[in-house]
Order: sequence, then C-alpha cells, then structure tokens
Amino acid sequence: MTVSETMLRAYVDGELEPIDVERVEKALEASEELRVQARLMRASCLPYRAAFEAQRLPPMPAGLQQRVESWIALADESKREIAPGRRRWLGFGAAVAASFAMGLWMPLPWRLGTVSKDDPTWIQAVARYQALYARQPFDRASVEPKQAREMLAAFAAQGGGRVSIPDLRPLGLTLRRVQRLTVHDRPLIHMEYLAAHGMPMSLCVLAAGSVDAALVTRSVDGMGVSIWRRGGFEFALVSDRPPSELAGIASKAASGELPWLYQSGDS
Amino acid sequence: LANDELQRQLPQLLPRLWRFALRLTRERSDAEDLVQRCCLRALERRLQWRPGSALLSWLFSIMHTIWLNELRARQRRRECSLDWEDEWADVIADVGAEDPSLRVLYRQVVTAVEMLPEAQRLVIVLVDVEGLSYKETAEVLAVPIGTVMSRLARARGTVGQRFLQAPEAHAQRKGGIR
Repeated sequence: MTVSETMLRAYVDGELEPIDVERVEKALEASEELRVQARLMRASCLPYRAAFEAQRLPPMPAGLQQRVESWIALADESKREIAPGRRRWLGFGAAVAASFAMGLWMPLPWRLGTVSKDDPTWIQAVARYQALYARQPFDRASVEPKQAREMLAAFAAQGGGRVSIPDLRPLGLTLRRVQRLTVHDRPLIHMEYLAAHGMPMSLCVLAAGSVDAALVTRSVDGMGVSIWRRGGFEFALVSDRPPSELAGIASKAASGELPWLYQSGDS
Repeated sequence: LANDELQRQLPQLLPRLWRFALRLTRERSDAEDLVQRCCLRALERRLQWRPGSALLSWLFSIMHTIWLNELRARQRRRECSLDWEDEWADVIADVGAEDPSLRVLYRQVVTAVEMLPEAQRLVIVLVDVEGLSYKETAEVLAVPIGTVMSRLARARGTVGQRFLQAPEAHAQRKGGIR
C-alpha cells in the first residue's frame, strides 16, 4: 500500500486511528525507504517552543514601552484633532515630529555597535546615527562646561593619548550636547552643534591609534563626512550640508586655526 | 473602532514583538530599533488593519517587511554584520531548565534551528515557536501556504537529520531514536 507523507506524519505524531496504524506498520515492515522517512520525522518531533522559551533573551528595554505608549497617545490626539482620511496620518506624523522635541524618541547610541571594526564602517555608523537626528531636540539643549570637560578628559585618558579637540563655536555654531558613545569597545566622543538654521552637525572623535592622515571629505549614506587623523585620534565632522561647505568648516578645524574646545592638560 | 482596538492591544503585544525582533535581527539594538519602527508604521497605517483579523500576525508582517528592506539597504551599503554570531551566542546563554539533559536538548534544538537557512528558520520560529497558523505565517512572509508547508517540512527534516547524527540528549528524553 502507499502511505502518504501526511499519514506517516500522523503515525509518527501518534494521531492515527488504530486501523491505520496497523496499515502503516505493515508498510513500514516492507519498505526501508519508509522506515528512514519515519525515523527522520520522529527525530524532528522536537520541543521547539519549549526550547526557545527557555532561552534567556535580553529584557525589553525599559524605555521602549513608554515610547510606544507615548506614540499611541499622540495617535489618539491626532485622531481627535485632524479630519479623517489622509490628513489623519499626516496628523500623526506631525504629532510624532513633535515628540522629537519632547524627547519621546530616543535615537539609539548602541546602534553604533552593529558595524564592523574597520574604520570606514564606524564612519558609516556615525553618518547613519547623525541622519536620525532632527533639529528640535537640540533647540533648547545646552552643555554644562564643567561636566563636558570632565567627560572629554576621561575620554582622552581612556584613549591613551593627548587630544586637542577644535571648538566650532567661532564659526557661528552653538554646542548643544557632548556625549560619550562606544564603538566596539572604543570610546567615541560625539559633539552636537547647531547653526541658526538647518540640521545639527556633529563632530566625532575616536581613539584611532594610527598615524596622522590628511583631511578627506566624502558622502556616506547621504550625509557628508569629513575625516582626518591627528595624534592618535580620528576626527569626523558629519552633516547634511553640501560637501564643499562641510569641507570648508572641517579644513579650519583640522588645520588648528580654530581655538581648542578641549586640550589634554586643561584643568 | 479598529484604531482603538489596535491602540489598546499594541502595548500588550510589545513583549512578543520584542521577542520576534530579537529572533529576526539577532541583535538587541537592531531589535529595539525594529520594534520602534514597526509600532510607528502600525500606528501610521492603523486604518489598514482589519478588525477581527489577527493583529499579531499583521504586526509581524510589518516587522518582517521593514527588516527585509533594512537588510537589502545594508547589502547595498555593503555593511556586514560580522558580530552577530558572537552577540547571539551571549543571548543564547543558559536555559532555565533544571534537568541537565533537557538543558542540553533545548540548546541543541535552538542551535539546530539557528543553523537553518533563513527562510526555513523563520517558518519554524513563526509556526513552532510563536504558534502562528500556516495561513498567518504565509501572510507574514508574503508567500503561499504551500511554500510555508514545504519550508516547514524541509526545516524539520534538516533539524531531524542533525539529531540523527548527534542524538545524545534527544535520545535520553525520548528513550532512543528508532
């Protein structure tokens, strides 16, 4: 007799009627091929769900639930205020944009950890990170000078060298945030500047441990990035400005003609 | 009303979205980003969800689409995820089972599934782990039901082959493989 795969599966799963069990067992006695097939099926009857449920997965980040609930509230709000149809979605879009300003959206600094250790990919990572930013979160942000100096001093010490970080403020930019991130266990300083108009611009510094390199400017994932290396540190200026404009700013920063925001040895 | 229902259920489904995102991406920061983007898109498109249909599989479908697009974009950017294996090894860690043979079995099951080709691995995760029906799985993956069934059969067959080759823990639990 012919035993279909479905019937064999039911036999292996113990869900076959007794009369069919007898038929299948006769067929199994007669066919080595069928016996092999049954062995395979039996071997694949595994506790998949229990095995995966026993995995120790990372817990859901604490802020995630709160962020989603905030968006739900915004969606409710936009539904009440905006007329139905297409404009309802626009209302939600506008509400989410507003949530940037309220700090309800958190770009994820640890996304930087998903790239390879090669230098070009950390540049890609900071470019993608910068592309996440809107202007609004920084409009009212300010840097506390003492804390920033301490952070930069700790970064320099961890980088194992003397670092001089240019100050872009004389170019009409205001420093809105200094934060320390990590790229594959290497400390990264990320400084966010804002001009009177336009999107934020960031100056990133990474302990590179390699020889000095001249300034180059290129486009990475739609963002302009100017890169140079000095004194064992790599610098990247990232912005959506035109490459020529960005290169002009970076050139001033890389040449040392700007004052220092921080220099190792500063108190 | 559909909107209200979606917005009511979404927070409750977040742990399952988080779990599925981790299994899709195998990396927690990508998973967090993916959950955020999935929820935003679901809220943007909440009028497209049909009340009465399975919300979880609709959300999984959105998440899967976002992730596929992200992978394609990364491929275009030649970005390699070289660290995933190691990261995931940390995530696998120990299971909570007290019984050592059960612990070994679970670890072997997870490892065998993780070694499957991506399309087969996802079908196992959706059907055998998340408990979706074949129809729901087909909707999530945007493939015919027949494809789901054949991928599942191939996936289980491949896993079964591995257990025939290294059957220790499985044999202890099942009383031997005939």
